[in-house]
Amino acid sequence: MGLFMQTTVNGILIGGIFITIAVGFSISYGVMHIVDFAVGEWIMLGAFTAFWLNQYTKIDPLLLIPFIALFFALVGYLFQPIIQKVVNIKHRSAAMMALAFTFGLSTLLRGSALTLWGFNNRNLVTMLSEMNVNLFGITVPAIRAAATVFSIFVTAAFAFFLYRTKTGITIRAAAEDKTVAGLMGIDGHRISRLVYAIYVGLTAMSGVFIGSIFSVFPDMGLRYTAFAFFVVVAGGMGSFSGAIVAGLLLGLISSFVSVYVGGAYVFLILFFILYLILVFLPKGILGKGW
Amino acid sequence: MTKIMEVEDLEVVYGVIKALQGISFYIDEGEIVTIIGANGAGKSSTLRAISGMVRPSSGKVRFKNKDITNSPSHLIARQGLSHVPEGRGMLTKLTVEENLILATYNRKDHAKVKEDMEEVYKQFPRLSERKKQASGNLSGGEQQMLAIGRALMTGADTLLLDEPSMGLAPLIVKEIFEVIKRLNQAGKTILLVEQNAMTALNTAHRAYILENGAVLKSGLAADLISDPEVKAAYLGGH
Ligand SMILES: Nc1ncnc2c1ncn2[C@@H]1O[C@H](COP(=O)(O)OP(=O)(O)OP(=O)(O)O)[C@@H](O)[C@H]1O
Ligand SMILES: [Mg+2]
Repeated sequence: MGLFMQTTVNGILIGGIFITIAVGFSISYGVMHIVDFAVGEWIMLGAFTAFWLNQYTKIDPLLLIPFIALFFALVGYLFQPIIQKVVNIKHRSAAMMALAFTFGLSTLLRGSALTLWGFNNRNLVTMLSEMNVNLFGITVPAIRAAATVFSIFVTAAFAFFLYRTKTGITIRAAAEDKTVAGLMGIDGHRISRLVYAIYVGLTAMSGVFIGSIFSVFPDMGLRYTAFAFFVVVAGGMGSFSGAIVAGLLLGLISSFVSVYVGGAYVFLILFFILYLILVFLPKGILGKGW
Repeated sequence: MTKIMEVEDLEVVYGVIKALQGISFYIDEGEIVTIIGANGAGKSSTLRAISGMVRPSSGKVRFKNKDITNSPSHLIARQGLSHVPEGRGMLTKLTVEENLILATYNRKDHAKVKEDMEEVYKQFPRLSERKKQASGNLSGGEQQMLAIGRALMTGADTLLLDEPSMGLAPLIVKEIFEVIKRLNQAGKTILLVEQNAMTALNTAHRAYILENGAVLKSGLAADLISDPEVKAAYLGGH
């Protein structure tokens, strides 16, 4: 029973962090219709940026989070038009080209990180690193609890933005039909850029948490790229609530499989479950995707 | 009368299909002009080329003395020209209210926006009862009303309406056309595309008849109703 509870709590905590990545990835897919293979690399770069900034400034990585989120939002904002250009090329399989492009970007970023920083694992030490907290009678590292609480808070703020503000309405409109949004005076490219910026910022921010919970290394993003695909497909393409449910499910599955079956089987079982979801619930767990 | 819109030799090509063979027409401020024609005549293509949904392969569109040919649709929409597309262009996941708010996104005249919102709800009381409902769950008639209401909320003075009667029961069609007349009396300029030729000719001041992407005939709507050729081909011989 103790182990079961421990595993559940850990799963929910990790799932909480996945939620932020999942929601950003899913909304960005929903608006741009481009699968960003580089999602894991934004995580890796967020973590490395925190690591190096911490090395040079000695500022706690957790305090660097607002800066990293804003900095990467800016990177996304500046970078998005390049992806857009690839999609806009009059080519029969523009979506395929975009996929190849982000895949190439991912490989390039990972390769560069390897060349620059080598294979070493680095630790991101924060003010919470040595602390534990007690949750429902279970002891968990404080950084995990804090990361989850913060992620849930950020996700809630993002949901508020999407569902309760005028700009949020324009984003949801562009996600459903850019042509009609255009007839309403909405610039679809501007919206895509904004959404991609938010997504990259949120993802890099999550990278700081992931780096401080686990460790920082050039390949660290790989598994999260796979996770992001799981979340988006299982949750239903472009669905916000679906991404939340799938993010939590992902946390629980990976936690339970690691404890009861073995860490090596996480991906095998995850993608088997994804297969079942695709066969039986092709529009995602909540049936809200398209 | 001042011409609010002038279309000159407009040509639209989809791949190898030439949908518009170079058509020309104009709309005076405050008019209802209708374009009628059979399936595939090029009516929707005309509206799409004007509002920037498709790029014309040649020709010119002038609106309020400005060349808007090849402008992106979101910039054209901000000039006071609003296109209600064929099939109503619903954003089904947005509520009725959100659809209307969306249309006001670029407006700065906040007091007028509030006034317009009240006016739309007054014109379409059914929308006001369904403010919080996803627009995807509205009936066809309600969706058409929302589509028109949304166009009004952009602050447009000129509306392009693509087959507002499509798929609606006769009673609702009557209601929609009443609304179109009322909007025109309130000062809106309207370009109305219809297959329902009789109703369109009864509503409009002037008309253009489109066949295979070219203007076959044009004139006062009242004259065209009694034109034998038009009667035979478009009004079922009545
Ligand atoms: N996206 C498209 N791709 C290829 N051909 C198209 C496209 N849209 C329209 N066409 C063709 O262009 C021609 C004109 O079409 P358009 O939609 O303008 O006609 P319409 O008068 O609006 O017809 P309807 O009354 O059926 O709506 C038709 O032959 C149609 O098949
Ligand atoms: Mg049409």
